[in-house]
Amino acid sequence: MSEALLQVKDLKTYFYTRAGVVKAVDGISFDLMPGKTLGIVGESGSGKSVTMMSLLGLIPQPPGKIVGGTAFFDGVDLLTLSEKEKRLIRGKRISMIFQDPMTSLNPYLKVATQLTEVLFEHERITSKEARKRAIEALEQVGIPEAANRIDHYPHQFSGGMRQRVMIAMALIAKPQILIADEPTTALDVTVQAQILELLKSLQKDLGMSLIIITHDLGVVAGISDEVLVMYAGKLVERGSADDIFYRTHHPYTQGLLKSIPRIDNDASELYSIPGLPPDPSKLPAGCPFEPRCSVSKDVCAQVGAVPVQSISANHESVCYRPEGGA
Amino acid sequence: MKHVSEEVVLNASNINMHFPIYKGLVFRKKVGAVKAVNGVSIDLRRGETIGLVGESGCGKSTLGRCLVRLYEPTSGRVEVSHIDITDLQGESLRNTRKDYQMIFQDPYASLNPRMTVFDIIAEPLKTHRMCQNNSELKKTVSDLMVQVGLSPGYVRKYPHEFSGGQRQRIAIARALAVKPKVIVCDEPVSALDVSIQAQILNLLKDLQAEFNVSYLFIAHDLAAVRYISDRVAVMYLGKIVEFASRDELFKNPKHPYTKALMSSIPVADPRVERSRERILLTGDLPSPMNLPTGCAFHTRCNEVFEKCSKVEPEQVQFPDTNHQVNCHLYGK
Repeated sequence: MSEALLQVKDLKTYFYTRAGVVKAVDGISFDLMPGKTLGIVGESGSGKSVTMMSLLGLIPQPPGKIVGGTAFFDGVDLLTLSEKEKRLIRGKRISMIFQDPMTSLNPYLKVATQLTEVLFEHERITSKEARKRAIEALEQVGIPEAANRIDHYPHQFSGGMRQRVMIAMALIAKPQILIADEPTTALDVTVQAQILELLKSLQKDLGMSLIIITHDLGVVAGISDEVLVMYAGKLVERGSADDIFYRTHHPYTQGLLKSIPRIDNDASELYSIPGLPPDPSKLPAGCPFEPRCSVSKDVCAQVGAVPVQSISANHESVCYRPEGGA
Repeated sequence: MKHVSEEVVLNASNINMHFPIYKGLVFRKKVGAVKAVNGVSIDLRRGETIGLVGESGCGKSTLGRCLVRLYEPTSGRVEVSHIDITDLQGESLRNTRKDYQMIFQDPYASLNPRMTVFDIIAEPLKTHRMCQNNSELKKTVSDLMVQVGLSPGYVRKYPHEFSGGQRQRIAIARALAVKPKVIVCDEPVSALDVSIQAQILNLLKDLQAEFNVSYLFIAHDLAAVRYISDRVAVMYLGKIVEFASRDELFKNPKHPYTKALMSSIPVADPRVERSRERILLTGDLPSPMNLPTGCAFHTRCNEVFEKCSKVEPEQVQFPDTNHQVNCHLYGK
């Protein structure tokens, strides 16, 4: 097996608020292989975005603080870098696209300015050359008449086109890792399908690794090699896409899979996980999912870390339940 | 048990909703219109759920609002249990409102933050004088809270103390309070977390079985629509392009737009996803200010032919399956 491009171990990001300490990310580990896609699934507040923002140093400190863990990218620990060193990586070697293309582009600046900014920041390049690269980037993401469109302002683009501009901006410096945080949630389904296909083909062409954060299990199923399931800031289950969907171990993952209506079958009764996700500042003492779990036992509520079970070579589940047990 | 009868509780015919666009400060002149809904007819039976799907901007919410008189349609009639509500005003309009209620998408915006749960649920009961006295009012409110799965102990709390799913339950209790015949649910689960969506969908189903209420369920999520609906209408740029029973529509979609929509939805199954052939549409929805000529879908359709850009397709009926489709592929 080849070397992981990004190796995150036991990442912990806490927020110190007046209401108490919020353990937004509490001991997350994962490896990202070159050229592969990692899907991170979880409900809102499960810590998916905070995990990624911690890696890129985008957590506002205070109130946030990375209290532990390591994140090795190409031999350096991202979490120990100075602000100046992080700037050399952000946008150049690791890029991120955000959920809402309406708010993540600057409405006052032409798309051309926003696209070339990255290049001027990271490369010694003439403005003519930068403009040429920007037009190429727009063509690459399938924007028609790129040479014209580049001088337009963000409001002149539709939602799907804006997300393409965001992707072009993220890819212009040819990063090794692209982090996509809910890249299609704000888009319509037909446009979502276009953007997902685009991400897949760009990944193949450029050979980059992709981390896709989403709450939509369907999106994950279509694009991921590896899947990480998070709940209340903690890792719940990790494995290949097939492990997660066909050899599901953790009761939360099972419940989630059973509770989504599917377009390709008619279920007459849908399972629903009872209760609500816990308040992140008042997490249960034991397993965070215990209060909603249908198979919980006494041990699950006990104080202390839940053991990580190795189900198979690359499949882990954080649960007391024995392997394959009911 | 759910029971759909033949009785039509809501009948809308030929609804048009055009929002005028004005220009000029002093001499305001009408320069155009956003044609949000164009000639939609729909009949909803007692105890039935019609799912209305389409992309954002297709006019599905506008249609929903026209049906409950939150908008006054430019033309067309709406009847709720055989009373024409299109031109009613004032007191007589208010008296009919208890027959049709609405649940909105965003439970963070649709509940008044300065009212307690009790005030929110009791307000429609007071307006329509559904309760004789205070103790009856209190009992009705607490019964409603139990029915939607909230503890009656929460009556003195404010909306901000609840999660999204719980707030949507409050909104449902409020809509249900006046025993409506029709509830228009405008994207009731799309603002909620995945594990909570299933709870709300099941709650809506259970309440329907209990109260025999009819839903117009507006959503962009075809999977949720498939789960909850009896019949499904697919909307594109202000028109219903396909309308059939749920099973018929999902087994046998006819309109190219419906097919593309279905193939765009990701399925939570890696093997299915890997082997799937996607119909990818090009481009985005055209502007409703300036509708394409002929069939409105011809600019993105992958089965387009010459006639499509010139002639608007008529509705084609398949009588044996009660399937309606507006597409030249099926015309003579």
